[in-house]
Amino acid sequence: MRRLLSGLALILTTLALVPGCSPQATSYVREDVDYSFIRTVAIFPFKNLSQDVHANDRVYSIFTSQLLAREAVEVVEYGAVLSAMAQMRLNLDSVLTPAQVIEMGKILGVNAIFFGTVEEYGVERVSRDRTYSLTCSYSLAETETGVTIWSSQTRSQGSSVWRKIFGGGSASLYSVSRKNVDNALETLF
Amino acid sequence: MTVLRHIRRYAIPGLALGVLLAVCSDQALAQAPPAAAVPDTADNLTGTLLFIHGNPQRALPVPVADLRATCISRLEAGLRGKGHRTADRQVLENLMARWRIRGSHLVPREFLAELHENHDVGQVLVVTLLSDNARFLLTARMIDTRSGQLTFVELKDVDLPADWTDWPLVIDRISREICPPWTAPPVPTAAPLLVLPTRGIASDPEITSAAAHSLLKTLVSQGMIMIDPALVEVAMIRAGRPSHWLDAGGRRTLRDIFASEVILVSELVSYDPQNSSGVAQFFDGEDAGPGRRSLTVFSLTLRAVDLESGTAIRSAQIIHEKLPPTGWFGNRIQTTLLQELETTSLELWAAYGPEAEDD
Repeated sequence: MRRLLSGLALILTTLALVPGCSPQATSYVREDVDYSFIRTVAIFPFKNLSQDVHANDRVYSIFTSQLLAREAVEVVEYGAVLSAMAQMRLNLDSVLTPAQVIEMGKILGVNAIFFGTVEEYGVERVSRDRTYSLTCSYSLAETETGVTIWSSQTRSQGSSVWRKIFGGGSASLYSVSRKNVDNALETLF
Repeated sequence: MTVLRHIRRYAIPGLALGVLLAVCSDQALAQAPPAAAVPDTADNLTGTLLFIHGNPQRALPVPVADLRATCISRLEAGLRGKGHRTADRQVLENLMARWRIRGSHLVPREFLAELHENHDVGQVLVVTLLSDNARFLLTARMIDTRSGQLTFVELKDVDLPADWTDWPLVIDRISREICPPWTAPPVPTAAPLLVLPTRGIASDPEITSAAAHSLLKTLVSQGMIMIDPALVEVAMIRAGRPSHWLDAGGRRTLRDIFASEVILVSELVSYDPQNSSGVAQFFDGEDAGPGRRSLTVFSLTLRAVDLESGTAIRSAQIIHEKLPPTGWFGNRIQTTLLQELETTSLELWAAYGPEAEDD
C-alpha cells in the first residue's frame, strides 16, 4: 500500500512539474542600460507573418493590456502612434532605422518603443490533436540612441500533458496569446 | 423533525403573508399615478432620430420607407406613452438633411444646439435599427441637447415572426420596450467624461455596435456623466483626424471643446477560431437558429487615457468564452450574444474598478 501511494505521489509530482502551455522563450536583455529611466513607452503596430489577417491586432491588444497591468511604464495610446507614423510617412510594414526611432520618440515624447512580429498563429496538428500555437518576437528600442535594448522570441501552445490526460481540447487562442505575452514580458520586468 | 415542525409553523402564515403582499402591491400598482408628469415648459420636447443599417429587405419584403415610417411612429408613440412630448418629425428630418447627418455616430454639437435653441427640443433619442436576416437589433441613446450628455442607453434584439406580415406588431413591441421614461434634464457638469466609439478587431460592425452600446449602457447605469461618443467623433473628424488618433493635436481639440481631462477608449477583439478573418457567421450559434451571429471567444478592453499626457492611466480587459449550450443533467442553457455582451460589460466595469469614478 505504501509503495502504491509513493508511486502515485511520484507521478503527480512529475505531472505538476510539466508546464501548462509549454512556452519556450529566447530573450536578450542589454546589461548596460538603466531600465528605470524608461517611464513612457509606445507600442508600434505589430507585423504579421501568419495566415490569420487579424493575428497582429489581437496579440497587440493583449500585449498592451498586459503591459499596462504590470504598472511598470506609462503607455501612449495606439492612435497617437498611428498619427506619428502618418507624420513620418511610415506604414505598418516599415522597419525603423535608429534615426526614425529617435524621431518617433521625440514626436510621441516616449523613452522607448516596443515592436512585435507574429510569426506563427493558429491551429497546429500534433499527431491527431489540434492545438493552437503562437510564435512571436518582441523587442524594445530606446529613443535616445535608437538601439534595441531587449528582445524576446516566444513560442506557446494550447496543449499540455494535463489536458491530454484529463481530456479537453486546446486552450483558446486568447489563453495561448496571453501566455506568450506574459512569458516574453517576464524576461524584461 | 424539529425542522419539519418549524417549517409547518411558519410556512402557512408566510405563504398567506406573501399572497397578501402581492395583492396589495398589485393594487398599489393599479392605483399608482401615471408616468412622471411633464412640466409645461417650452424646451422639453423629445426628438427621434432613426437610422436603418444593414439590408432589411433581405429579411422583410417591405419598402425601407415603410419600415422607417412605421418604426418612427411607433417610437414616438412609445415616447408619448412614457411621459414625453415629441418634436415635429418634419422639422427634425429637414434639419438632419441640412446638417447631412447620415449615421448615428455622426451627430454634431451645433445640430443639437440648433434643436435646443430654435426648436425647443430638450433631448433626442438616437435609434439604430440593424437588420440581420431574420433578426432585428435596436439600439437607443438619449442625448441631452443642452450639454451633449448621454442620459440613457438601451439595446434589444428580436426575432422576426414566422408570418412576416406581423412585422408591425414586432416593431411596436420592441419600440415601446426601448423607450425610456421621461426624466428631468441632467445638470451639466464642468468636466464630463469623454468616450470614444468601441473599436472592433476581427469583429463585424453590427456586433461591434452592439458591444459599444452594451458598454455605454453599463457606464450610464453606473452613474458616469459623459458626452455622447458621436459628438466626440464629429469633433475629431472636423479637426482632420480619425476619432481614435489621440495625438497631441487631437487631445488639445477635445480639451478645448469639451473641457474634459479623461477619455475612455474601448476595444472588442474576436478570437473566433472558426474563421481566420474573425467574423462569425451566426448570431448565436447553430443551436439558436439560422441567421444569428455569435462570438465564441472575445475580449473587451477599457482604457482611460489622460488628455494632457496621452498615456493610459487605467486599464482592464475581460475575456469571454462561450460555453456549450448543454449544462448539468442535459439542461440546455442558451444565452444570446446581447446577454453575453451585457454580462461581459458589467464584469469589465468591475475589473476596471468602481473607484474609477474619481478619475
